[in-house]
Amino acid sequence: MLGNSGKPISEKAITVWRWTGALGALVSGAVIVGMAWILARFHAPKWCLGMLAGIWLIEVVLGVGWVPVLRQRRWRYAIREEEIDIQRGVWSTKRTLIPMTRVQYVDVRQGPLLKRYGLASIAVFTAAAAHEIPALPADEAEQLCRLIAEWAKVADDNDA
Amino acid sequence: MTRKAKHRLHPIAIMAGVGKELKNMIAPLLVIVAAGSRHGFSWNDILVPLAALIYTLVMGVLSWVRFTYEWDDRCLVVEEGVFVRKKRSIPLERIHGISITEGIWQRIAGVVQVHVETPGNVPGEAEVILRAIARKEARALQQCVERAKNRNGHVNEPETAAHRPPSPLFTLTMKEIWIASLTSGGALGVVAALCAFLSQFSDFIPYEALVRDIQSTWNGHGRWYIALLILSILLAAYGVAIVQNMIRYASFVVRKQEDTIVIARGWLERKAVSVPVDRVQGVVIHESWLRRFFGYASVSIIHAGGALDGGPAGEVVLCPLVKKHRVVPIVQACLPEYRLDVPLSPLPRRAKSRYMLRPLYWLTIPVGVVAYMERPWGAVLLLVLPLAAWIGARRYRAAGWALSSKQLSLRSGWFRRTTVHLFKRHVQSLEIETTWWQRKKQLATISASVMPVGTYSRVVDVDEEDATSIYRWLQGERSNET
Repeated sequence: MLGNSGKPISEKAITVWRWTGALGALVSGAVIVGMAWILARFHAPKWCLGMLAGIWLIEVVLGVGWVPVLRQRRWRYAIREEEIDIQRGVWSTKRTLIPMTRVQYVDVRQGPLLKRYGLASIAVFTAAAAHEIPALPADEAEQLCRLIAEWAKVADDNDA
Repeated sequence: MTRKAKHRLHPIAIMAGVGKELKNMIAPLLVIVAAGSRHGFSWNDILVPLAALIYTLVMGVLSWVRFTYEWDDRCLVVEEGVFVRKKRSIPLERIHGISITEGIWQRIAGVVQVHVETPGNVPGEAEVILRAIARKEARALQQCVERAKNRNGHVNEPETAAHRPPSPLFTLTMKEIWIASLTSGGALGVVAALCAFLSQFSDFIPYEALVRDIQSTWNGHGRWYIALLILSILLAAYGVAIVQNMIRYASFVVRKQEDTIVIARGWLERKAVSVPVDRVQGVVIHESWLRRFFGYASVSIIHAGGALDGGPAGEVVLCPLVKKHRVVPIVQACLPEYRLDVPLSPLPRRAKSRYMLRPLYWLTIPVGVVAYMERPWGAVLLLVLPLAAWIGARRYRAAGWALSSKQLSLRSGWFRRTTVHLFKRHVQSLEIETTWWQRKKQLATISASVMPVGTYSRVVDVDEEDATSIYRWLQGERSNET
């Protein structure tokens, strides 16, 4: 079986994902309150409302408390001269391999939340899809982006 | 060849363009007119449609006037735009593919429409349509493109093959067109289109009253009438789909001209799609269960450009319907590098129970609930469960994979068994996914993605060791090749 190689992403990612999880919970909380209000108007039984509240509670516990930690712990990336190797996933483990020759361009992305914690993400584009490595220290992300671009170019030259 | 002067399209392009615009506009316009004239007709009601009509006509003429094209042996240059001028120059050797269509308008004037596929990530931007040019010109453009490609690739070949068209590699007989139409799933598409069409008229079809009527009929003896009505609608849709298919696939011919595969087809609308061999990203073989029963399959090629064929993006139909034993020789003739007759490795036995149980996870509860509510007859529905498990077992049997030094083949599905053959140099990325349950049984899901569509093929529950070896295969790329 494939070994667990590669580097972990920044631990601050947990905090960032907690925030996004909290925001998501806020939005879904609003939806659930709306649903509860409608149900209450139609005199739905109490346990219906209880179930809704339960669902929301589970979401909060998972989305804010548990999932961010697991996600950060499972994330691994390895950038080598010939390929990018990504491992991630909470419920299932996904392992993605992108040969360097297929890389078309690289982006560094930084939203307000990531910026607040001095982080940035890298998005690697092939002709078929985009692959993101989230929450790296900003200067490291910058460096990696250059490195990937350089290696992708070298790989292309060799290929031709 | 010297640079030609700037050309304008044949004037019939105006009609073709305006006709197409009007076709898109007609349903909303009808709704506007109908909604307006609900309280008696007056001339004001047709003011909006009339304005739209005139606007389309004027714009059609103007855009024809402002559209020019020219090419030499290096570049195709197109200038267009009524208010904002846009000039695009496309190097001929970068053109991904060319398709030539003869719509009804073009046939009247004896011209063709040329659809040029160029590299680019934005769907609408990556193509140029020359709506009406002379057939001779279209062929000249095609030859220029081929020559430009050859010049780049290898030594300039003398034009030996270009003079006489090579013999067709594949044609469809009338009987095969008939079978292809009968066994295609197009009827569903027609029903969907019908629904979309009807929803446009929701303003003045009294659906609510209709529903009430249906309910009262349903509760009376009318059940059978309604069932009969639905059945006849479905049959009619099926008929329409058959006719559509027959028009689409009439006189289907595949030829290979040097390094380009040319696929010509269609009855009212002739269409010729050219795909350069080096743009082919993979070969897909679809076998729906019905066709498999009669010993037929269909073959498509994955094409780096957009949807030249009007099908799903990136897939061009090579053979709509073909006897299974002919698949290998045909693909061999078109794309000699691909090996289709590789033996596929089956999935490990421990995957079988997972395949059988997987449909039951989400079927059991709804089926159980319905069976309970509609008892006693609803209990018949419980038969669905063993059937689903049986289909799962068939899916397990169908799935498989094969690996050679250059090529990866993946197969999955039972209703529509799909086998995909990909070259290593075309695999954009590879993914192995393992859930907790899969890990316990040492199984993994493997998926490969190719240009331009992303994930193309996926096989669930491959042996973990095998998945790893496929992963390593792509990983050790450079060291293997050199």
